[in-house]
Amino acid sequence: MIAVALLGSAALAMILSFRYLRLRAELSQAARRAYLRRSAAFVALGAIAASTAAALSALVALPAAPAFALALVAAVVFMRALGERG
Amino acid sequence: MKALLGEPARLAAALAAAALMSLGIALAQGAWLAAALPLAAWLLLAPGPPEPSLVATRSVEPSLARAGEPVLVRIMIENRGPTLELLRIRDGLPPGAALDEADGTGEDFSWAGPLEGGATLELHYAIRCPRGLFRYAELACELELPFWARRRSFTLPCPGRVAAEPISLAPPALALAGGSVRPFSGISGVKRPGEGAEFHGTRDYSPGDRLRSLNWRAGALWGQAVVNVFEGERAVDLGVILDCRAEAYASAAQFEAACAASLALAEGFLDGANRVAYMRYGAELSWVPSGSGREHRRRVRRRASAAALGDHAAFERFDHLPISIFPPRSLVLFVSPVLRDDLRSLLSVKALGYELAVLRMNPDAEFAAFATPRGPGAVAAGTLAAPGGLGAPGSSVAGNPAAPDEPGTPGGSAAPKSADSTDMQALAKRMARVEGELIVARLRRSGAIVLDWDGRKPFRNLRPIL
Repeated sequence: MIAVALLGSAALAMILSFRYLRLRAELSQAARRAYLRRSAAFVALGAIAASTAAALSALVALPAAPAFALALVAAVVFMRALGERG
Repeated sequence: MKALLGEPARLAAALAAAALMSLGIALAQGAWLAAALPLAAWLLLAPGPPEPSLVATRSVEPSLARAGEPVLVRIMIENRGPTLELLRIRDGLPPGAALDEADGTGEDFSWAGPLEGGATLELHYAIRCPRGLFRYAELACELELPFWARRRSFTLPCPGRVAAEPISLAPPALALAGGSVRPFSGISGVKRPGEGAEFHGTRDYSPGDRLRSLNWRAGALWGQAVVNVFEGERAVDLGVILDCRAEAYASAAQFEAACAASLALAEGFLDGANRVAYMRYGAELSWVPSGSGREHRRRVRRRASAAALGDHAAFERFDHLPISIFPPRSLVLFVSPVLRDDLRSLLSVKALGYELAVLRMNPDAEFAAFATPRGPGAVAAGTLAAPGGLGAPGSSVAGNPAAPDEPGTPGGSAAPKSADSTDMQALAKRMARVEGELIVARLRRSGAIVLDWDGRKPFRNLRPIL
């Protein structure tokens, strides 16, 4: 279950790695460090969040629980976008 | 949606997230839905690229170069906004221009890298241009957030201009006397009594004459005061008219040679302290009024650089020539292949009191030395025809040589047809040559000074046809 939940983080890590390899030549030293730092933090946090959500959904026997988390993220983004436009 | 998923990485993440969510829904397992969470968060939380605040300026050194010489383009970009993690800049080269070998190859110059807030970025590269006037308008820029894979494309105004002059030619030493001369000294071949070093003659003394010009021996001989009169060359007014009508030229190389010749003549007269006006007559009318001096020379060079072949219904012939921009009775020099229908207009210029000179670009010549890649407005060599006259070799004088034979025509086999075609072309060329000679003869009979240049002999050795 946890292994399945980490699939998304692994996919994201792979995507970010490919991007890093492609952009490395164009980035400054500081930008490279920032990229790697952000990537590591995002992948780690994502893995923790996904694992937690998977465990919670199994605990409460509610498979749609992570979907609520996704919906929450989408709602936050939507509200932020509305705020920027307003 | 395109802005959100336009980047391949974002598209891949979106597809992966959708697949994981679909699996989660299909299997009714929260772990699959949870797996989509990091990908979806990365997609949804990505901020947009900041609004850039960039100011770009461009300088070109030299702004007026010879064709084929390297021109250094320098671009300064000032970032008046926040730090930009990754900025890509692409500067499209003008048509016909090419990057100098040291700066790479391709049709544009590109740069990518970070730009700190408040910093100024300096880019430079060298290009080589054929003759022409080239304008830069803007830079194509792309701002990217590397981690979030979000991009913003925009253009940055960055105008600039490069003028590449025609090939440099040494002007011939011509004595093209105008009807009127200026009171100032100049090298024109036109001598007038007055200030000068060469002896012209003698005349009776009149009050006001310098005592040092008294010819004592003649005075003693004739018993009256006689003064020496000297003569010197005087500056003249010259108007150079470059024919830019596409139909008049047989090839682009011939036009390039005409541009180079017109500029060489204009500069040759400017070197001699004469006043020169320069006009392009073709798809448009563009001229520099009569003048002299360094700045005037630059203006003339720019006009010659920007010359391009073209057509305009009003300028098919020299009937609408605004001849009044040239000083009255000045010398007007046409640089043109001279079509048959141009004769009347040229002779009318002579009838108006102007001294007429014609530099005829011989249509039989190939001007191979001028056959280089051209800038905007030019056309490929060999694609021009002269439908209005016989000035161009290979033009359809006695029927279309390339037209297929009618069915049933006797002798329709391939070899005889080719031989016929060659014969017709040879005949057409011969007739064109004869007509050219007739045109030259008529111009000479009218009193015009005619120069005929075939590109084979050096331009500086050109002399009027006697």
